[in-house]
Formats: sequence, structure tokens, C-alpha cells
Amino acid sequence: MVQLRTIETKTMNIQVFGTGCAKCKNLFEATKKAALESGLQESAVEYVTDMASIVEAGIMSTPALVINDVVIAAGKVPSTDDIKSVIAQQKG
Amino acid sequence: MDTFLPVQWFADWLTYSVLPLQRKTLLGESVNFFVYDTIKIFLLLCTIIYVVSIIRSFFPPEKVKTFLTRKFSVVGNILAALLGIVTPFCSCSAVPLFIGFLETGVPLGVTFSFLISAPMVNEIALVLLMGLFGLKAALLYVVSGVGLAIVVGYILGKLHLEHLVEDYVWKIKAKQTATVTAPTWQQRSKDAISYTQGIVKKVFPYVLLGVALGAVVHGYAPEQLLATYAGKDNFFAVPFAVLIGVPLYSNAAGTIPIVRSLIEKGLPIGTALAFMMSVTALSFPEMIILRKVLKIKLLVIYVAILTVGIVCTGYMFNIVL
Repeated sequence: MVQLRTIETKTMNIQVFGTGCAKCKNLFEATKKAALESGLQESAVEYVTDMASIVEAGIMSTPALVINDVVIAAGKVPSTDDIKSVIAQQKG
Repeated sequence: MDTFLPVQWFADWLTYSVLPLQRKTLLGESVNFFVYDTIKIFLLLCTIIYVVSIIRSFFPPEKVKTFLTRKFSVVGNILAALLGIVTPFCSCSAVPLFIGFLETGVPLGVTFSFLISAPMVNEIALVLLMGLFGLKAALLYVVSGVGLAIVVGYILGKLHLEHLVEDYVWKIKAKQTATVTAPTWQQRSKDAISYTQGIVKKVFPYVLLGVALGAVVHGYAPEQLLATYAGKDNFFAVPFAVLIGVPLYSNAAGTIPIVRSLIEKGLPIGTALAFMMSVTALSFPEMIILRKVLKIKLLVIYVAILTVGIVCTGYMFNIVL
């Protein structure tokens, strides 16, 4: 059981929540870049603009970056390197 | 002692020693004025925005809404208006913030108090008021802005307009409240620096333009020019100033330096205050964003009451000061 867990690669659920403002697009681009550089597909990053989904996720300041249901950043744009290190942690 | 004395020395040295300009000439004084103001505002922008961003990192909206839940009395409006000062706010997240507040049980009037105070009492307006008018004027602006947010939010709450909020808003339920882990001091500082850089880059061209135009008005416009046309006796001056302020959305950086020179030429303080409030609090882009959550009737009521409030604030200060 323990061994199985170390072999299995966790699936990554990367979401960018935004209302369509310039900062939101910047975060989406930075996250796609970080995903590519971490060996993931660009399509692994989901861009969520639907207002109901944003509020349901409990987010009040956009843009927000959510990885595997954990809010990594809200209301700011972290650098590509910061996003990469979070992805690396989650891959762990 | 004036903290900015070294800046004055530098401005004097640059205008009268390096550049071939003479003291007591219009051009000399105007250039000196421009150099001094832009350097002073630049220094203030960097330090104050950095400090404000650090303070704000302690008040994310997710945390603030829990303070405001089910506060139905005027205490809620007061709290909301005060928290509006320290909570980071960008009009592009006005909608998720609005829904998020209502969804956790923050009363509608209290939410409006927050929505008025947050953009109006902003760090850029604060820096420019402090830099160009001094601490007292900045405090006057903050106190009247917070007061206006409390009163307008309270009135809107008493009108019981919940049915005029778009119906879908009431159906949204958050599955969870996002818990953003508290950042370390190092992270706070890093974020604050990048935020400050962003703001300074965005705002500084407007500061340069505003100060330059202000310097021209200061040097060349006749004394008491505005006293004749926009003085206290002119009843329409305040509403007119508010009207001009609407399309100048969020450009406190560009407008406040000009306002200073206009006050020198006889623009009354109350009229100037109403103008600045209109620049920061009344804006078309934000109205369009709010239309997503408010039915047109509520949007009109909100804008109308806020406008009347700003005009009244202007009249009040024209009478008192």
C-alpha cells in the first residue's frame, strides 16, 4: 500500500480563476508557462471565468490560482518561478 | 523641520545651477515646482504604498467578510467603511466580492458601505494629498470619505432593496471559504515590493502630467481666476465639479496636482473635495461591472444617492471652511 502511493503520480488540477481583467490574463499565461516548464501539458491549466464557479470556490479577489483545491494565491499574480515551485511541491 | 528639505535643495540646485534658469522668473519657479513635486511624490509613493501593502496583507477580503456577517445595525456600516480602507480592492473583483459578502450573510447596506469606501479611500489619493496638501488634508479626505460611505450604506440598507439585486446572486452558495495560508513576513514584503513597482509604473506618467499641468496653472493662470466662476456663491459649481470628475476614473494621480493649483486660484475646498471624491468613487467601468449583480433600478438608486452624498459633502465643507 505504502509503495503504491509513492509510485502513483498524483493528478494535478490547476485552475486560474479570473473575471477577464488584464491581471487575470497575466496569471493564466504565467501558469501555462509554469506548467509547460514543469513537464505538464498547457491544457492542464483550466481558466475559469464563470462568476458562479468563482464564488462557489470561495474566491473573493481575482485573479486566483488554485491547485488541487488549495488556494495558492488570490488577488495577485505570483511569478512563473513561484508557480513552478508550488507545482513541484504538489507533484512531490 | 521639513523632511523634504533635501529635495528642495536638489530642486534648487538643478533649476538654478545646472539649468540656466533664474529665480523669481515664471519659468524658473515653474520648473523648480515641477522638479520638487515629482521627486517628493515619487518618494512618498514608494514608501507609503509599500507600507499600505504590508498592512493590507493582514486583511484579505475572505477574512474581512467574517467580521461583517449579520451586522444589521449602523455598527456594520461603520466597520465596513473602516475595513474598506485596509482591504485590498480592485474594481475588477468587485463582483466576486459583492456576491461573496452577501452569500455569507453580510447585509446589503453594509456591503455598499464597503464598496464605496474601498475605492475612494485609496493609497494613491492618500499619497498625493499628503504630498501636495499635507497630513491634515489627507485626514479630512479619509474622514469625510468614510463618513459618506457609512451614511450612504446605511440609507441603502434602510430602503430594503434586496429584491433589486440580480436573482442569480442569491442562488450562489460557496462550497467552502478559501483559506489562503498566512504568508510569511518575507512573502509579505516581496508581494508589497512587486505591488509598489506595479503601481508606481502605472501611476507615475500621470503624476508627471498632472504636476506639469499644475505647474503651468500655478505660473500662468491669473490669480482668483476660479473665485469668480467657481466660488462659493456659485450654487452649480459643486455639482458641475462632480460631473467633470466621473470620466476621470481612478486618475487621482493626475488630477490631484491640478486641483492643488486650482485651489490656489480660488477654487473652494469643499468643491475640490467633491471633485476628488467623484474622481475616485464614481466611475463608468465600475458601474458596468456592478450592473452584473444589480438590477438597473438599484444601480441608478445607488449612483444617485452616492452623487447626492458627494455634492452635500462639498456644500458642507464650503460652508464650514
